[in-house]
Amino acid sequence: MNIRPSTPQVLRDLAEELNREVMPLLTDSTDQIRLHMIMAVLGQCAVRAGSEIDLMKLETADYRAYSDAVATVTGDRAVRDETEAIGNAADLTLEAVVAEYTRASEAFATALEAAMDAGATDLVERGEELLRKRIANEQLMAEVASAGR
Amino acid sequence: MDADRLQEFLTAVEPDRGPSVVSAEPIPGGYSRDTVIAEVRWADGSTERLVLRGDPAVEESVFRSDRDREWTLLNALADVPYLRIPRPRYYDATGEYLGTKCIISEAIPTQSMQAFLESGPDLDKAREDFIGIVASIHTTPVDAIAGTVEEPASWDAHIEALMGIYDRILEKAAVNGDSDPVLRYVRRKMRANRPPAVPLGLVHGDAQPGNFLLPEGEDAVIIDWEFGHIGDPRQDLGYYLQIPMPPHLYHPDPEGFLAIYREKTGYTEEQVNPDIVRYFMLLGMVHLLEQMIDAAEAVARGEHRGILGSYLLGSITHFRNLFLGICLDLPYSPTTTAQEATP
Repeated sequence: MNIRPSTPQVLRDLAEELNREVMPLLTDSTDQIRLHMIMAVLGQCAVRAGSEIDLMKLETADYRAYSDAVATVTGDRAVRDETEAIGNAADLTLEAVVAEYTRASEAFATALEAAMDAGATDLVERGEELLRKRIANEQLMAEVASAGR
Repeated sequence: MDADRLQEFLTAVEPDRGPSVVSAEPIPGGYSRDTVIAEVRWADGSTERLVLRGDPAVEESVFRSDRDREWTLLNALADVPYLRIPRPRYYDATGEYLGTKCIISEAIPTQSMQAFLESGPDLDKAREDFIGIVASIHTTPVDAIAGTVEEPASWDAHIEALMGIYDRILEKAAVNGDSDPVLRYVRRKMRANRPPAVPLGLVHGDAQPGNFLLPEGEDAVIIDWEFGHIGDPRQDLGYYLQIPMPPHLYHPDPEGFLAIYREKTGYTEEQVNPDIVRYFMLLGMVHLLEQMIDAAEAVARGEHRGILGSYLLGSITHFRNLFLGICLDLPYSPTTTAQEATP
């Protein structure tokens, strides 16, 4: 398997090619803007390709632990069921990780609502911290890296 | 929407005036509609500049709005004496001539307030002018346009419809095998902190300096009404908070901005204050967030939506972050029942 260059490196190289060789050929400002956008998206894809599976697995573990804690404290049946439905797959293909992440996200969302219903302040604050962390990871994925430079 | 098509259209709708299209050039940069500026010479020797606004191809667009509805609204607003918009002139309602549904309005040969702001003017004066324009929209009597656009049955019904967009986003996510804990949390907090009611009014839907034109010595001209509707005017204030182009006229002094706004509109401090305006970003921006998420989902299904479909993924994150920040500061009610909070 070819690992050098890695997928992020290939994507960044494609952006570099567009910037060096294609951009100077464009005279229409609409086309130039469009190409800038394409290069930015390639840069974001480079970041995602390098870390999205790892970040989803880490968040999934956080959501599982949180939902389990809420189910234990509140006795909420729906939270318990959704927590148990998350599973713990060893499969690291993107499709499998996304599916597990989605189930974990749903359990987390339900658990946070249950914590708010129960007035469990500590659990609400812990859930809010996980939301901040989720957004921080999303922002990392949306980063425009070094595309085109 | 090129010169040949415009020539054919004008010849059809103005056969007695002998139109001759001199030029038709695209105006780049718009996220939403395709725009062209054209110059026309009539048989009597007079010339006229026109702006054409048409729908981009469905498969290449993210933001959707209804040209029929916009045309109806523009014609109603054109007759409101204290509000100035570019006079709507023609409408290719089927796209038969111009290749897409297209509204043609008079061109206003001047700069936008955004360009003016970037030239380094007195910002206190500019802020007052900006607020005056926004207030002129919000104090337009609803009666002036009643019957031309849909009117919510009540303020409660309108707010419920806006909050319902969150329900719709989350339902679609579930159907598509996705989950969004951030927006579920936002919805929950938003419903637990309903703002005080105000009378329904005219909402522009994209109220920002770039959409206010400033002809020398004349009243400002307000353009781009594609999201105009009758609703809660505070939606426009909340929407303006997220406009990124500097210099911003609200953020340096929210209290000062809103004091002027209240004076011009008659709202109370309970109805309009910095916390309420932040809250209204949740309601003033969510219709566009929904369209960005829909476009992202289309990309996931393998449908192409132009580069914007993928490019705006970062914007979805940006707005989730803004919305979360607002809602983290809102109190939650432990006694709120799940039924009340999640319809």
